[in-house]
Amino acid sequence: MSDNRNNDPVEKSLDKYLEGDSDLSRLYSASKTETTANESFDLAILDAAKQSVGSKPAMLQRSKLKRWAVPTSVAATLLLSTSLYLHNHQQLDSLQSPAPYAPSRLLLDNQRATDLLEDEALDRTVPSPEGQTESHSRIEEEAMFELDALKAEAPAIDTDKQYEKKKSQSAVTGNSSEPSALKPLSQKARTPGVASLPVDSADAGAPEKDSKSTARYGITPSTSRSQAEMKTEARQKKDQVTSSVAMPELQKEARNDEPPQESAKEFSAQMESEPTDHQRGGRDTPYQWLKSIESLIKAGKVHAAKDELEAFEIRYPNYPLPDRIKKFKEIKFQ
Amino acid sequence: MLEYAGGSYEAFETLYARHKGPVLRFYRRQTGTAAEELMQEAFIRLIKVHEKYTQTASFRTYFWTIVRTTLVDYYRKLNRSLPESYNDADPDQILADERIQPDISADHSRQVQRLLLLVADLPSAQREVFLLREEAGLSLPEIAEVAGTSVDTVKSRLRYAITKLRHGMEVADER
Repeated sequence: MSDNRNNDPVEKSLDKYLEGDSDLSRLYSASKTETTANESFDLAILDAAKQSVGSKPAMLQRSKLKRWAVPTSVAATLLLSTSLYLHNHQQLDSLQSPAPYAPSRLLLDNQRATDLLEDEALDRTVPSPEGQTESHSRIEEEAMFELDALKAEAPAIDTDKQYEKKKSQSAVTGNSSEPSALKPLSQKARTPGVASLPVDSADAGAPEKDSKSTARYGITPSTSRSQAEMKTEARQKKDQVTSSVAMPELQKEARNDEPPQESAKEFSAQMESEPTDHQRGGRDTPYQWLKSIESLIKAGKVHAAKDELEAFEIRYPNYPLPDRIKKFKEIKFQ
Repeated sequence: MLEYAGGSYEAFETLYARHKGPVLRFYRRQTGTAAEELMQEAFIRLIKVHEKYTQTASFRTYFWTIVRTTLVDYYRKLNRSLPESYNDADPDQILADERIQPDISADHSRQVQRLLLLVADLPSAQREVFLLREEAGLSLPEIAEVAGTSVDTVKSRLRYAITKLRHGMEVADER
């Protein structure tokens, strides 16, 4: 059968053609002359190919950019969020944390000025006994004087370190440069001449730089008394004035401009018996409050100091306490 | 093609110069008209897929598959189906419908012109196999792969085509 197939002329013709050696193939090859298409088709095809190749670098660049874009943006986001978090955290801390132990001069001045204004307002609102109006103008004047004196002393208590340094210096030399406002009450009372001098004569002891104030108040300056003593007196006078409602006798004394006749000891006892600023409503700054507590401790009034400390901690729960008060706090009293 | 896929435009120019003539003649002799549009379409398709090209088969088979697919799409666009000859019906009864305008040039000899007339008279499926053999230089299995049919079918179509062409040429010679 395969022989028949091999002898078939059609199959022979096909095999010959498939071998590539046929007249038909040669004849057809003669028809493969130069075949040209319209140039516009050529240009269109070649342009498309060029664009496809030309766009490749751009695509590569884009892919490179993509490769960098993600990590860069992630890093930038992390950096931004971290810095924002830290910034906010610091701000939050500064808002939550209590005022520094030793407030700045400006803050201190402002606080004291506010205290004075509050005192004045209180004095005006509280119904005063008869004849007390006369003393109000005097109270204001004294308050102004005290403010000037405090401003002069303010640089001395800028920082804790300065304060501690000055304390240690004063301990060594025995010549205290500590502001009178920071001195214990008992010490204030023990200041010589305070009790024996009349109010005006106490004011007269202001130094030369306060001559303006003293001139305003008609006070003769005296060089025999230190500036600190004068400030102490001013402070004491303020305390006397602000406690006028509670202590009518002292008010009367101030109104009549009569010098206190008691001795220093008597005056000290009187000062100890009178309520502190905090007992009168706690209007002082935490710093002053702590100082008054310290003074109570020094004066040996441990129970009063304990009470004050408790009241202080209720009002300023997170305020850092000085070491001495901390130690005092740890002592248990029966 | 691999060089072109790697981004070489010069490789495409070489490729285009090599395949442009055969593709254009294939389309001219298979459709008679719209040969240039089909050629452009076939090369554009090649450009579009060139980045995905991997050397899994011979490039000729790959490329001529694109060329033929473009032709089939053209047929479907015109008649919504392939010509009857692709259904392997009686090859002699469908000649009238699939006869095309011959691609004859004045430069060709009389014999060549006669051969091209005979090619134009072949049924589309037989003509396709003959042209793939002559223009693309594909073997029977490669033609079968490009056409998506069996080798036997391709051989049968080619046998019919050769027989008719020889017969036509012999008749012309006798005259």
